[in-house]
Amino acid sequence: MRPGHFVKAQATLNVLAPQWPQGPKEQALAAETFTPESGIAVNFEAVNYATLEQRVKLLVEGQSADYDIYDYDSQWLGGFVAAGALERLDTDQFLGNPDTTIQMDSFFPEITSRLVRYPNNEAAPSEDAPVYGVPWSLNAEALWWRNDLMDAAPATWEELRAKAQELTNDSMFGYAVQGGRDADWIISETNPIMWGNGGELWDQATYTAQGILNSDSNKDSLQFFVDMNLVDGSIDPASANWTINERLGALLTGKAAMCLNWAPLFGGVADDPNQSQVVGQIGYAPSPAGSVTTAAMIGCQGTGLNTLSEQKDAAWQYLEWWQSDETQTAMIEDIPSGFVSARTDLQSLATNPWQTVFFEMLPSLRDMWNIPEYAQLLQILQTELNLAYVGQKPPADALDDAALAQQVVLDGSPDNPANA
Amino acid sequence: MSSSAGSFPPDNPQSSPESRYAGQLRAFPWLLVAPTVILLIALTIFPLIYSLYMSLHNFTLGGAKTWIGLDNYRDLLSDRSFWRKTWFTLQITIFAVAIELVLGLLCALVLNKRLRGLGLLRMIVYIPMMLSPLVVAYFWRIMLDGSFGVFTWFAQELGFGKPQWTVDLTLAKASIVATDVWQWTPFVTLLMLAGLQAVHEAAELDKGTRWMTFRSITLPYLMTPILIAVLFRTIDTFKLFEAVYIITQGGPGDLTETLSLMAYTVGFEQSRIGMGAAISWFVVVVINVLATLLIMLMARSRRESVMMAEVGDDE
Repeated sequence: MRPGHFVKAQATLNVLAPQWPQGPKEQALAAETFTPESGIAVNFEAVNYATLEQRVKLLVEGQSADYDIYDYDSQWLGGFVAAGALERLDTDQFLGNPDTTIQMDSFFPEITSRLVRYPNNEAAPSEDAPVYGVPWSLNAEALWWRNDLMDAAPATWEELRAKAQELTNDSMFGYAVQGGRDADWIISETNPIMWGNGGELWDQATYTAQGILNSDSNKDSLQFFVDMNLVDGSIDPASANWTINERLGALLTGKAAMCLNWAPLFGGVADDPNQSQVVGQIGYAPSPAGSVTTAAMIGCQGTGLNTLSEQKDAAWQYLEWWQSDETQTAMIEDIPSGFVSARTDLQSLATNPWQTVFFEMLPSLRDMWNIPEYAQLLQILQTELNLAYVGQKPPADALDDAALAQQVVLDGSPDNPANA
Repeated sequence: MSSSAGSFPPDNPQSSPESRYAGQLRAFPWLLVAPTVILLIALTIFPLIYSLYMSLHNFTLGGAKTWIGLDNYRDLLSDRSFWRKTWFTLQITIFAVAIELVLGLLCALVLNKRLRGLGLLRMIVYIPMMLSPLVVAYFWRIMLDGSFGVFTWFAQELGFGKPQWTVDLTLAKASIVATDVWQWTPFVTLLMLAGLQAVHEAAELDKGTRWMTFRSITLPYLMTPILIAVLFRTIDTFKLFEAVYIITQGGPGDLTETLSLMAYTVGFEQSRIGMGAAISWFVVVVINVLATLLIMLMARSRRESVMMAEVGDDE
């Protein structure tokens, strides 16, 4: 037990988490090592990812102390902080305690600036922004490609488009996408292209979308993406309402030659003969570069303390255990977990190609909005992107309409500097 | 204390055993219905009133709750996409209910025959309506996938290429209607069969042609089951959520979004509880208006049936 902290025996911590590949291993490890050492039992409740955000907000609304730890996605951070769901951790009780074993400077700053510090401007991140969690699961969208069909992965979006056309035939499409408008499906496809070509979603400093989201650069990028579907025919048209499952399924059943997909999250799935028909034929490369830069979509989750928890010391002790050498090492080595550590000193332990590719993308990680209004902004844009993708609306008009609607939301935000 | 000198306070005539028994008798029915009433208030009436209260607030989960009166309703009614979704919901309702009525009636006429093996067929026909709408929606999503769905495979085999059932707007609308029709036609069939049992003998006695018999005997007797079917199916289809949420996700874009999906998206995915409640209340009002109209029609149909029966008896 950490010096200076008393945790009552026989305590039970309740953790609310998404159903994530790493969950079972974390639970097993907690039962094997954390509980025997600390005397604290850990009860996990893993719920459907799509319902977790609302669940936490409803719990906070009801002033619930049922859970001690909340796992959260990066874009929920602002909403959770605004709702008072997450305990601030850069205080004397936690990160400021000289006895604590968690050191913020042991983590990759590219991760912490987007995942645990809020508010924080992605364009000008601050190391002084308040901290509300620690890293839990790290992912970014990498390019999964068939190494039996190509000598090397396409390095740019232009190369990818050409290669996708070349590989498309009667039984295979060159590229697979998740084009649905639910969750963050289609935006995860378009963001890396827009950012790579120098576009932005908004100006965080001024809460402006008009003129930025619908910039000429972004319109060209969206046209490029739509043309791969409607003009080139190198993407399955059915993908317009595909989710992450169908996209990965297309690759693993040999119906597509390339796709963006999270790494290391799905870890060894491509090499598991029970789940893949292309065992040993998948390579992992960073998200392709645009005409200006390379941008990879982040998909990281954090874990923090419920502000209303009555067992914050025990919960903090659990987070310390979670970030310990032994726990992080065991997680990295467990292939089904698809895990890499946010700790800089443990990077070398991640040696699988689907792990190392994450670190290759670290300098180019980008995230979308994480303010309380993110869900509205997301749905406005995804609806318009989907309309453009199926040819119901010209890409330029779709972005103009999205920018207009998003600006109304941003103008009404209490956090908009203009409303201060 | 002795009570020989009488009790204090003096005996209330109402507290005699007989009057107490009478009081208990009066209270007993209330006691019996009390659990139901309490549950109804707790689970239905209070949430309904509370949702109305919420619809009068600007309230996003995690944020402050501000009284804004009817502003949510005003914003909603001035939103063009809301009216587009209302129209789409009505379209789906009209098409699905009409097809279910026709198919349900045809199925009932076939299943009403006294043939061997029809009992088993009846059981099979009823299976879809016994399944969870969510499960049905997932089945249909997989079958309708434009790449690996079984319907796509059949279309390809027949030389129709690869129809994009859930991506092309017209086909997406048709797919939603088809899913609803597949699941709920059996319900209409069940109602019609019940009605047909009553007219069976009368129809057998008539010496006219089949069409004449159907038009002048069977159909008038079926008016009440038909209106009941329209009432239930209209209410249910106007609230349609699962099929749209799973099969098209409301897409392409939001062009197949029903009002229920809109309420869910706004209320739960965007956490805008006040606006979500306002949309739900709009649905409640529309359904109540439609239901009232149909119930009035049913009452008129019943009166006419009774009159028809009386005329028949006189003759």
